[in-house]
Amino acid sequence: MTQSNDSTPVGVAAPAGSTAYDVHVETDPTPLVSWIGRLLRDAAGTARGRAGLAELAGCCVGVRQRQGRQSVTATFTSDGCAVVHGVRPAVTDVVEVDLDDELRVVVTDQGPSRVLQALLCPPLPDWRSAAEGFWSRVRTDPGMPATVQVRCRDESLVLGDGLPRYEILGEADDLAKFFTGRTQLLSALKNGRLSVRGTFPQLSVMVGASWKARWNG
Amino acid sequence: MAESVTPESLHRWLEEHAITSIRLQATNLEGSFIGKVLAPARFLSGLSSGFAFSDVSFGLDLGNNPVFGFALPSWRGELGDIFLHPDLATLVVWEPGVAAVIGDFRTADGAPLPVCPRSAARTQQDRLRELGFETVVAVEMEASVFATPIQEARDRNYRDLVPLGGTAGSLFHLAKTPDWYSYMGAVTARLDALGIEWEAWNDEAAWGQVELNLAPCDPVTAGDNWARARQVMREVAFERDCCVTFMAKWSDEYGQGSHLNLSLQRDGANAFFADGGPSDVMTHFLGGVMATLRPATSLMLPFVTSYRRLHDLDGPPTTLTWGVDNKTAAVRAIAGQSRTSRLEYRMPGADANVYLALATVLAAGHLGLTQHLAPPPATDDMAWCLPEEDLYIPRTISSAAAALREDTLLSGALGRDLVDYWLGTKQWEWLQFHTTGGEPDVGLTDWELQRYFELA
Repeated sequence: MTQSNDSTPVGVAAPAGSTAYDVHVETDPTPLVSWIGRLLRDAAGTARGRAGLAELAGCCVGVRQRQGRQSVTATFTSDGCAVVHGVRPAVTDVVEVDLDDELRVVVTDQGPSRVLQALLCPPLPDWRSAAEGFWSRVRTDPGMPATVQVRCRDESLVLGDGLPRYEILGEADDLAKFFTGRTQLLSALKNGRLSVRGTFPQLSVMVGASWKARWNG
Repeated sequence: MAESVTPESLHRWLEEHAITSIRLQATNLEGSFIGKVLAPARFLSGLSSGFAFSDVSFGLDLGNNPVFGFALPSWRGELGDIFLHPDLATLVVWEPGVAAVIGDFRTADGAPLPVCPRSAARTQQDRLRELGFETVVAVEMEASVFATPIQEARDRNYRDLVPLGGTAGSLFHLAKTPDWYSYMGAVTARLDALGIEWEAWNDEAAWGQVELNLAPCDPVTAGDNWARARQVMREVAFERDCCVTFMAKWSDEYGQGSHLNLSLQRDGANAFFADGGPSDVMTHFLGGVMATLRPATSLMLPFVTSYRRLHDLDGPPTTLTWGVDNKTAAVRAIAGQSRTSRLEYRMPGADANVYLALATVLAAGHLGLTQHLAPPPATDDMAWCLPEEDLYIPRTISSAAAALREDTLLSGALGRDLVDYWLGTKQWEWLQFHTTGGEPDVGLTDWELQRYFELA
């Protein structure tokens, strides 16, 4: 399968008062390209992330899955970066990532792994704000339940209104990881970190929504 | 085919042929032959209600994992049932004591299943009939046969197999070893016994590769014959300790396609024929085909591997072009003679579901006829290595799906239910390839061979 190496700009909300930082992902991106591109766009929206991105200016970093075949190359400049699939010959550094459940950078003492870890694995938001952000992006997707009720121990958050309903239950961090696309719903259900109450077709839609959270933010 | 068998005469037919079991046959979206085996009494008792299949018959990928990620239609429930309704016109003696019948899937309330490939072909066939046209289709099938038992092929991860017929020459060579002729002789004998008319077969471009040409017929029958001929080729191969694949590409060197030859008849005459060139009917039909060629790609090239065929100068079309007697274009128009005037639609891979491919082309042609669409200028030169990048067929399963997702013309004609479901399965396929072992920039991967060699 031939993949284009062309990069196309995607919209980036730059932090107020700073110059724009463009994250380009290639046309027809692979899942990992979309994911890392989204994480870098998110990072560019924060002062802490912009500082990390500034550290990487001039670097061309290959990111390779430790136990699998997925890989990307991210080329950083002072005002943006481009993400393409594969580890390209021009890379100055290669870092490894684990993708078994969520993305984790294998941190070493050398190279940019520590900076990348900070960029790609930022602190988790509060599960409530993560759920509300998720809902705002997916609530109108075809097949989405009218109401999603999120339960975290004794707390509950109702998103939307009416029928049909869907229920998602889990611990705070596991819910935040799901709603931000850091973990995928199917794997979270299989390993018991989340549970749901709803129909099989609703599960299919929620899985698609979790991909959307991962790739599009 | 047992066209004269009715529900009332079925019991007698089963007894007369000493049938002890009946195989229900159909294809899923991926084109795999699916079904179940029934005792005669159960077959007779369920004829009017249809036979239950789990709805995940259309919800599992070729790795046997449930497909997720999109809005499922109302007929998908908590692993509910859909029902296969046999078409007794397709009843045959498959082998001594065993009958076979092809059916159409319906929902529990009896409505046609929107994603049933055979029903989709029938719908488009009927729409053209409403315009006064009978569609005539001939399918070219390509497959590769190996003198390697299937279990050994599995043990070898489907690599380093021994081509049937030897490795001396390819493409129309007759200097093949006797096992080659014996295999295809057995295949064509089985086709004859099943009433599947074939016209020719020949050595194709790769070692062990055969092209089988099925005779012209109506689209639904063409799909039936294609599905059964593939099954026959598999069964005969297994019986002889051989194996066969319909993968679009089973090695980095060789690809295989499935060209569709189509024409429309009106009042018994070829409506594509006119003195001096294509008729207006052919021109408008072609206009619809060309207007939808890009979004149609996804249905013609259904799997990740399908796109590996698309190399300039290699044989398959690479550009969204048509031409008169131009086999380098995606669509070849053959015009000027009443008997042979037709369109040869050259895009489908050997892994395409021919029912769906035919439904797509017929829907496109119907659009062209009803909207009086005109095709772009013909490509008279070689249609490979063109400088215009935007003329190229989408090169990946994801870009082809994106083209179909953005389209409204073809999806409106085919039915949004079918197209949306198809797109959901394609997104899943793309994701599985990238995240469970596939790799885009290397040659054919083990992931593809494991997934497609036996089932595509």
